[in-house]
Amino acid sequence: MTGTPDYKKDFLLLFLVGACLSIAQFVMVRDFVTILYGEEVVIVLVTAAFFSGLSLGYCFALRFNQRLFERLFAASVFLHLSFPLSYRYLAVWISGFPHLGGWAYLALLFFYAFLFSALFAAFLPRLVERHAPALSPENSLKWFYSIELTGFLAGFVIVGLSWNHPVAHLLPAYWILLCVVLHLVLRNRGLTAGFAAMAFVASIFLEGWDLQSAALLYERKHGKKEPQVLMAINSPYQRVEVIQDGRGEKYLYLDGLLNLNATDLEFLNHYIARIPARLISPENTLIVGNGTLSSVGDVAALSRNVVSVELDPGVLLAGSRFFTPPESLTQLANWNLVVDDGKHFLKTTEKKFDLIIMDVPSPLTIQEACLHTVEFYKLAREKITPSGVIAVQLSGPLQRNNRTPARVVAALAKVFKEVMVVESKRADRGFAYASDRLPFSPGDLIREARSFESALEIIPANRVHVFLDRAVPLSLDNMDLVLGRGWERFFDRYFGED
Amino acid sequence: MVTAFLTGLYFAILQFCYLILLQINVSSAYLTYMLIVVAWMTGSIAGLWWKKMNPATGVVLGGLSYYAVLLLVVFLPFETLTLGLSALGVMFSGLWAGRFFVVYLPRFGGADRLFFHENNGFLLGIVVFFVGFTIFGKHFLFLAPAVLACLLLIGTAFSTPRTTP
Repeated sequence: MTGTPDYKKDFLLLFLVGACLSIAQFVMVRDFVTILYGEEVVIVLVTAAFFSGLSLGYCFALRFNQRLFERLFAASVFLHLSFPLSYRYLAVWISGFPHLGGWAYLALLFFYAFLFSALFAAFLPRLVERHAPALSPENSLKWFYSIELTGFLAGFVIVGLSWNHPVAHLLPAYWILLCVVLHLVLRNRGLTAGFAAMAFVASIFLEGWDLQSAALLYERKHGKKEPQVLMAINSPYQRVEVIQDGRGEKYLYLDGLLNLNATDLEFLNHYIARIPARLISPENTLIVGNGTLSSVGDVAALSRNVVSVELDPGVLLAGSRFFTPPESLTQLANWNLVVDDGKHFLKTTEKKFDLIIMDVPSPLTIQEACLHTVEFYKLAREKITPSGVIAVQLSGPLQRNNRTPARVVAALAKVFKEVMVVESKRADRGFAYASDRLPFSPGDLIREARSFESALEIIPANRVHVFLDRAVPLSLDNMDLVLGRGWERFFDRYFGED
Repeated sequence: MVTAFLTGLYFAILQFCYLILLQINVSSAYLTYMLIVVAWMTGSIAGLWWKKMNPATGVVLGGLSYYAVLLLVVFLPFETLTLGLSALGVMFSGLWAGRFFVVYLPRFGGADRLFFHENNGFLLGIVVFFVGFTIFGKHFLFLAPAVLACLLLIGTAFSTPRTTP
């Protein structure tokens, strides 16, 4: 970037840098959230780390001379070829030294944040400065910032094209852009050719490396035995991974957090779907979540009409490949699948339901928590028949405290007249059934569940309030649970004494 | 420096407030996020070239657009039209996110320092939004953009940047 300013070259350069930044942000946030496990606290931390990389880039943008900048940039670009292997292997390596604790992971996160974003950020101030004498500083800023933002939008489109595919579909495109940027900055054919050759070879093996390095993470960091990654894709919302352990058990992980395994799924479906459907024999049933579609077959046999609403096509893809064969569902004439947000569907549907099954993850992110709030349950109540039931999994046993199960039940109790809770040891959690007029009694529940689990504990509707005197109902005005529980889990995982 | 930092904080809070407002009241589908990002950036690019916008009009327009969208989602929730009109609001708010850099560049001497301070504010805004919303919920969505806009207006009253380079 010395000598006579070349507008066209620098416009193209900054456009590509903008696109690279967009892709880098996506790749980094998704991968590091998965490595560190995806509570909202972690998402915020990783995003903040990316932006701190930008700050570092701006800070040093004009402090480096051209030669040093070019060298640093070239080194950084070549290091990009090691993604995602290098940071996953380093995370695996760190997991072997528990005494290092969270600080080592934080160091890894911030080091890669700088690598992902700092040098890209430095381009804009340098180019604005370079062209300021000819264009005026303001015009130089207008042109170059406009172009960088346009490039960022182009990168956004490239990311969009990679949805529901492995990262191996996105990184080669990223490397092509980097290769052009490298050539525009250094004009060194040998270096460009070297980078292109390495990128080409890496692209060929990337898909295998991606699965292998992810499997290693699941073995060392999650403690899975002989894990095999069957599927790893980036959906529009999260990283979706299906893992199989040495015993052949399949697990669904979303952003590094265990969503379910095949055995748990059986218990979960029994209490959240099969039992209420048997007791009610509903005309219309709505299943919110349950992207694996594993409860659909059972419920469709017991209900006249069933609608499944799932937001994430990536989870549906994982479900159809590994948890519920599509051919088992194609025969069902009374079942519809809608890809939509549960809130939006409930507000816009004209149907009323006798049973709503809430098969959604624990409230560890704001979006997940929204589906456990007073406001959401009010919306559900509008679409439920007078003796209709909403069934919710509580992510744990109901106790007299202010933790997740109690807060979810408190939210249900604020909206519905009757809430009954079942504690299942086999499912390792509680389930709540709420209605304005529950159409079944605790005795009915025990009879229905007997063949599956004999020592079932039931908290009848008239006793549930005893457990709720310390619980603040989860609502849009009170989501401190997402912050508190997320922080607690993050701190215990990385900074706890054990 | 303080104005740039505060402006970055304001931009982050405004963007995330828009996002949550629309995710809660219209849809959490990816379209909502995509619309906000594209509209904000389109607004920023247009703002870079809009010569007549000064700090006061930029901040006020951004704030008013936000509160117009807030009213819209209250009275017309979960409608596709709401999402389309909200995108316009986001775009209007994004105008100052572009124009700000042009107006304040002469005061900073170099784009590096200007972007550095603005980005630091944005970074803090990400954290403040998360903590603020999870603790105060809808009250935060209602108050935070107004409070920051007022602080910015007070700040600009004590400074006189060039408005038309």
